[in-house]
Amino acid sequence: MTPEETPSAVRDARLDRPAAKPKPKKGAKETLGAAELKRRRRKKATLGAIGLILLAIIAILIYRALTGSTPLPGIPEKLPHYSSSIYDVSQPMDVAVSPDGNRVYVTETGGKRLVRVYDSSGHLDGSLFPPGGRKNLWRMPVYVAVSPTTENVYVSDRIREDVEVYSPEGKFLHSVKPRGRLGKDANPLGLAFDSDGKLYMTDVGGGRRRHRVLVFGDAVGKKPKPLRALGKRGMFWFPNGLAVDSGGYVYIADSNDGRLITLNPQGKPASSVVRGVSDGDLGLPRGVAIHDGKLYVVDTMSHTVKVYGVDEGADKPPSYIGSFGVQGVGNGQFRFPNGIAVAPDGTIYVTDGENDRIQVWKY
Amino acid sequence: MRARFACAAACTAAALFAAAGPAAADNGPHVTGASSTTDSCAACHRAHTAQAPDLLKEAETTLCYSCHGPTGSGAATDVVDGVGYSSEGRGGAPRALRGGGFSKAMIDSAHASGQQGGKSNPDGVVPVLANPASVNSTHSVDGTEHTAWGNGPISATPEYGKGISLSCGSCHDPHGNGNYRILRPIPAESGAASGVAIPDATTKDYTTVNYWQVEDPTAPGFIAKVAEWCATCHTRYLSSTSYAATGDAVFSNQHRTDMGAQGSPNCIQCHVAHGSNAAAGEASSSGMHSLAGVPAAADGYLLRIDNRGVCQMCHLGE
Repeated sequence: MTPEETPSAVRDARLDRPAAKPKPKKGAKETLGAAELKRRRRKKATLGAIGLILLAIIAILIYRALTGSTPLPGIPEKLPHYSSSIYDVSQPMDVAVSPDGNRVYVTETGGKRLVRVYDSSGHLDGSLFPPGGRKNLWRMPVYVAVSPTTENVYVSDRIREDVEVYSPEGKFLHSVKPRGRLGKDANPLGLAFDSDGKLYMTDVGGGRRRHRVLVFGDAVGKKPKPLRALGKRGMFWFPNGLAVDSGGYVYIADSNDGRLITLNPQGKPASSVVRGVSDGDLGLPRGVAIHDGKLYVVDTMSHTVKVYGVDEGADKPPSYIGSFGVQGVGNGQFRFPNGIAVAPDGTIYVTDGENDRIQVWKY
Repeated sequence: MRARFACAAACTAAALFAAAGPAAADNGPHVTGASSTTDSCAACHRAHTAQAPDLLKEAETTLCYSCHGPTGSGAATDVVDGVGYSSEGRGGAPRALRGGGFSKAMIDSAHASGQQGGKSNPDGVVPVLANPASVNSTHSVDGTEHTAWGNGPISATPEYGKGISLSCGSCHDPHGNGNYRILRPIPAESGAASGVAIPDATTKDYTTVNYWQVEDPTAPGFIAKVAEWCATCHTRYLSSTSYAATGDAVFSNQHRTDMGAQGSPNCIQCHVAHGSNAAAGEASSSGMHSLAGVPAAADGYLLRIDNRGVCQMCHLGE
């Protein structure tokens, strides 16, 4: 056989060349192997899934942008959304809610400097008047708390350097001026109750090294002696708001030190949230509230409220979840917020000092 | 595989970016001795999103009042109501702030006592009020412009002084400077070429029970230098004699203002720094600067006593 007569397959084999693939005829479909088909199908499915995820994210963002902060139904929110505001108040400082959530108490530091009482829908029900009635204007109500056991309302007064106690109906009962070795020269500021009705009070009397937290029994008379003082000498610098969790841990806004300190039930430091510039760090913490495993800290200078998860009764540091509110005058914006309270249904009230209102946030 | 991983990473990054909230960077009140990596600046300033002059996050006065305001929730001095709270171990009722307040003051300006002749009176008494009263005159820090009386050089033609808009930081240095009441040696907008630094007090006492007692026993440099410091703004008011003419068209003859002793002619002996509730309601006192072109005003000009009571403290019977 001449080379010209040799079939091409034989000729190729002799030359150790792989057999050439036959070219498909024009217009005919390429025939693919099963493995290749499977590989292409998997690739398409993966790209399709990624595309769907991207579309979902875009849809969520558009939905949130159109509806404000309203969440998707059925999906629990980590952070609350702005709901409404309560006006008719001048430079509110602190807020507290009655145990049934029906009454909201707000200390007003501008205007007539009264304690305003609202219902849960934001309607002004009245005001609490101190001894001397409307004529006695030299007062400065700052922080307010409601006893969970008696529902009496406690209001610290910076100028009088005492705490005024009112009945749930708004009648003035008596003033509280701490006495005794621990209570002498006390200057009450922040107020909170534990679940047993014991009163906790931040004391900013005296110099910086004397600032501390005083703990009273659940029956606070006119001249009570504190049961104990919490905090080592010099630990606090103008401690403001505080809260007590179900396990007896105390969360204190150590304001001028720019941090939050947690004390265990024995009064020893358990953890802290420091001052700084990272997410979750604090600047000038003032109001503190705790509800359903979440700790809320009003950071006055950053015009925001920071939210942390806490394991109530456990020696674990708060874990930062996020923050809500930014600086400004619009809905959901703050100017020097200070106090915070959470109603039993989870409604959050924040005093928006320089905007002359109380903001209401909900989940 | 790599492509899938890259896509997943990109999606995660996009989700995180979209969900991120605004950055927060804050700190507490004045922190002196800040380190080279401090975050203290962020307490009051923002580099790119400041809302007020001097790159402040908020209007300066509102910022200061968050601690030094009526609630006293961050400081023992309430410069709005002119009240000092218990500090340094002392208890008791809130006391009168030495400088008065920007909204109220506790000067019992109607009941001065111990007047005498003789041109100095170290022992006079101006008591304090039980409750603060609304002020009639202040070194206003509300941002409105006011005349800095006497500011500027001697002038043969009437020049009363330029208009200045004051804020807390005009006189006080919030960053701290080791001076008495952290006063700036050269107040902002004063136009002064050189400054006056008043040495700090060894013990800080912000309150008083007698508004005629102006000397600060723990700051000997205060009364010696404070008139000179006031004159960085009120330039033509500084005078070492009550008898020589100055050559100025408006402030031609001056009462002496620079004696550095309690009860002697000194700016601070007759005037308070922040605000006074003293009244100037009588006819002759209504409009101290009763000159052509200068509107009369019945305010107390930061005096410690009503009308011309400060004169009577040293010139009784003359």
